[in-house]
Amino acid sequence: MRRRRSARAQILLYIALAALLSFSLGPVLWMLSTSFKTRFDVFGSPGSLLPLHWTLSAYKTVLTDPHFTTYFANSLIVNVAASLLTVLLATIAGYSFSRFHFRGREALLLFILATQMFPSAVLLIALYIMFRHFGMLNSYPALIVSYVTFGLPFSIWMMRGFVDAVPVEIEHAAMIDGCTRANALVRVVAPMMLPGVIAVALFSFLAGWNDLIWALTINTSPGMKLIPPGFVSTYVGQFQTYWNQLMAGSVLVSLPTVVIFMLLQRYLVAGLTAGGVKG
Amino acid sequence: MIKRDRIFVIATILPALAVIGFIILYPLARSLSYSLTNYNLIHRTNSFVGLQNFTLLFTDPTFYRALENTLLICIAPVVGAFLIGFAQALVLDQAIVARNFFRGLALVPWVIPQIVVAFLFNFMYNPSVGVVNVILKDLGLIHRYVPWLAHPGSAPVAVILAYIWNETPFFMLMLLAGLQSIPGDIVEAAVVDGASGLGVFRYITVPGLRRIIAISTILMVIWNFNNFTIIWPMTQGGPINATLTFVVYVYRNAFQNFNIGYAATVGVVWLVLLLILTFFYMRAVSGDEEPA
Repeated sequence: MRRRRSARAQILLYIALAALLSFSLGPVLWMLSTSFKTRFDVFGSPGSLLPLHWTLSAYKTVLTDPHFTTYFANSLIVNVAASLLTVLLATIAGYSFSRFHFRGREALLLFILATQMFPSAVLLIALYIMFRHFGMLNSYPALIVSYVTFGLPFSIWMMRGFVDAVPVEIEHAAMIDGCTRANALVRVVAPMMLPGVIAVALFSFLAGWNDLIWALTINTSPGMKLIPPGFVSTYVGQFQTYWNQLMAGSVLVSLPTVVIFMLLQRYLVAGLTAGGVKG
Repeated sequence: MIKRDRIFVIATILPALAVIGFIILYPLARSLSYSLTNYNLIHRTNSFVGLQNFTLLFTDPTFYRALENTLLICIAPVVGAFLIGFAQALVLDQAIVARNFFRGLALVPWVIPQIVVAFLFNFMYNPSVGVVNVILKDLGLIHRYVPWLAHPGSAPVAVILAYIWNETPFFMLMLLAGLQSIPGDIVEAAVVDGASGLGVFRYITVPGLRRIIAISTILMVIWNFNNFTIIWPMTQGGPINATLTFVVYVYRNAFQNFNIGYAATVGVVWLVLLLILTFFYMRAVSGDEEPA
């Protein structure tokens, strides 16, 4: 039980909350409000927090722009595939790292974590040359495997933490009842660590969704571009920017991650603490 | 271990290790070996030149500029985001109404894609329609609109502020998780023994969070070294290299000048710097708890 606070402390607490949240939410509100403005309003009254004339025209323009929809679809395909693959690889590896004691296990785990520190732009140099050599530029597989490596090391650590939390007796019982170990993993353990699976999926999805340098380098043809390089080629260095459309596009690009994270916040917290805090 | 288990372990771990080997280790080794060559995709040269790239690098003023910027732009935001995130975690740990809802809201800047963060701040700093100029002018702090990203003095600050905004929720999350792991009865015992609120914070809260603080801050510095997504759309390393970091310098050398050998040399220095940081990171992760 917490101590009861005085009325004054209570008021100060809510003032602090309001100040700290407006720091985080101010720019977001600005983005939302601009996306509902007309282009005229953006230039005519740049300081007004609310649109003078509410309109969906910026959204309509963006959603009917074939470039935007192509980039968006490409981003979804690459990132969904990469996070599914990451989840699969991390789950089975994390399981064995948790359940079996074998020689070199700790060293291997530390090594896997250490790969997370390697400069990704430096890996990109050699991979770019390799992908070029094999004719894999402007394709999905090159980016998918690249994105798997962003999240995989940390995901294995997170998964191991989640398997640790599943009582070993449950799968022993299943195995005595005739399940093979692989069966027990799929039927008994995996459903019990669903929060971990979700956390890993979210984590790796966001890691890929945040990338620019790989997508910018590997997929350059208009039909294969992802959203981040698409934004750069559309809006960087333009003499006149359609800010209301750019903000509408930004809202649409943010929706998948923001909505998923707001809904599944609890799992994310659990995942981060399993991987990063427990160690 | 029985044989069937051994096969199971190999079959489950090998796929992950294979991916790490082919897509991380092999390319890393190859990239680093390019630093000893004059590999250039335009001039079509690719021969061994020994340490020539390194002697060139250590007399290259642009490299020192990039080194300075990298340290500033990768470390300064961590300090700012940590302090604000810590304040958020402390407030969101209290018994307040709709606590989970507010926690979710505080998370938003971190789950907004970084490409959006970059363009959102571009927009806010814009010299003709940016809200930063509107507010500062209304407050009387500036007399006419300033192109914040076009001045070498203000551009790094502007970029750092965007990083801080984006990274604050990560520290909020980590520290909140840490605060929740401090047993309530320890706090109560201290209060019963007459500890003040500040005393509890100084002698129980902060020591209890030591490990999380070490891990989250070092992790964020390492992530910032790789952060290209925010800086490139904002400044491309400019103006006059004022925001040129290692990742931008590698990108320019490798993918704009196609000077692979030189880009790899920058990469070697980057890796050495990160290995030093990794050493501290590992020590924090695997080190034993100090007695509080």
